[in-house]
Amino acid sequence: MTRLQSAVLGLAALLLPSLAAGSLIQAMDLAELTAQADRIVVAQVISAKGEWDSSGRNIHTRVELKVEESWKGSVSSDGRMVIVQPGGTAGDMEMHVHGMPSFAAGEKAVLFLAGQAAPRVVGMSQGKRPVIWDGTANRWVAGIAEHSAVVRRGPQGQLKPALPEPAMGLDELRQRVRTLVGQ
Amino acid sequence: MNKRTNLIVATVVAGVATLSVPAAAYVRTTTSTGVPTAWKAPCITMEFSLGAPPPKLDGAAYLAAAQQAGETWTQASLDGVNRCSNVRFSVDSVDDTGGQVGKDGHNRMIFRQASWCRDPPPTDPNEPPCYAPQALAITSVFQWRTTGEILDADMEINAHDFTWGDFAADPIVFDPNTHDFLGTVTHEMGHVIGLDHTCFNPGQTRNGVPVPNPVDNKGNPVPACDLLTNPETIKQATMYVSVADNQAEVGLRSLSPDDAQGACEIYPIKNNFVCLPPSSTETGGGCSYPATPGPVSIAFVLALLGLAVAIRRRR
Repeated sequence: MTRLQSAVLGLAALLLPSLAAGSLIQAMDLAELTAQADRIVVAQVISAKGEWDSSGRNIHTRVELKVEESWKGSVSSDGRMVIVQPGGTAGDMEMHVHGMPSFAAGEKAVLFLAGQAAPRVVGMSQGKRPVIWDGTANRWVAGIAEHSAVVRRGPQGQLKPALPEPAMGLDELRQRVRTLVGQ
Repeated sequence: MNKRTNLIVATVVAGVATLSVPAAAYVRTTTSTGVPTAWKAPCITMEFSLGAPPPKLDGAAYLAAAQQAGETWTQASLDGVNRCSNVRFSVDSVDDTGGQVGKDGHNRMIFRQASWCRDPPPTDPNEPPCYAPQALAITSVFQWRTTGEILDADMEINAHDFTWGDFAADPIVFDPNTHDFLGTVTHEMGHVIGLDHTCFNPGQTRNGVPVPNPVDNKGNPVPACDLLTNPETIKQATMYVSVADNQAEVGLRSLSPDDAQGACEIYPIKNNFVCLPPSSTETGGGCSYPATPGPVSIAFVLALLGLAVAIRRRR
């Protein structure tokens, strides 16, 4: 490596942002979320129940989903799916895992899921986009994910400042994801 | 002094106080019911598993960094001289390579190296799967939902997908997968004591309901996270959500006035406060917030002892 290259890399290292989020999640853009997901679905939450695990030391939440649309990957014929994730509420005790998405019965969301037998949300809370009915515009909207990181990776792997993925119409998000998937 | 002199003195004192203590704002973590979280006894002992530490630092360097991070919060000060908080962090080295986390009265710090999973890794689809590889570290906090009292906190650090270094000693590290250990742990310890980020992404929903913008300690809405437009006072906080460069990552190691104000207002200093040695699993694996015997209670105990001796002699 030449002295000039070293100087450029050193300067770049000083100029490029890195992460220090509390939940410490590397931010992902839509293309990364799509690429790393085995399944992308629009689903309704049937139930979300926190319970102590068999060791009695940790709480996890079992989320039952009813898939309404599948944008990537396959789902079972009855459209049912279960996610189990660390953290949740059991009685009056909360196990708060910084960065995990929250779920509640009745809500609807676009979910980017990795893993087949035991799926998890990609990029922690970044992989859940709540879907809300916008009565004014008369359309479904995919809201902003719960994550609060504001930096993401550039094409060379470096991190740079960026605003979170904005809210957008569900139709637009579906189109963008399907383009990325190559459908 | 007459009334006028008193008024002038009071005004000058108030003015000096205002000048010497910069206006600061911080944000508290809340439970799902909106109750701010805090330890009842802010004597927090972290047990750091350092049996086989990951590169680039050695065990002694990791331990020193974690202890320094704890000391930074313990020494929180508003005037740069006097401690103003009862927070007492201590970090002890434990000679194992990992282990389980959970509500067990032990606050653990664990590097995950072989896999980015809990220990043991899940084998059953009914268990939570391994963590998302994008997570650099995961902090789990056990708290009562209705009171907000924190009982236990564990920090798992991803050494499977990331490398941890010392950016102060080695500042020109061009590796997006390497992060400053001390800065990161200082930030995480802020979460452990109940502080949240100093910015927020508006437009979120939680449980299907729009999340209202949180407010800071002054009741002002927490600003939207934007590295490009957030003012320096917010970005310089250890509890800011991201940093702009390696140098700023090192900056997380020291508290901003906002961070110190948070520690000092949530856990205001009390002169007779002492931490007891770890003895009980009920207190979150560390010290206890004692019913510290003050002069009156010591006198009372002595009187009781004297009475007992007197009764014994009479018999």
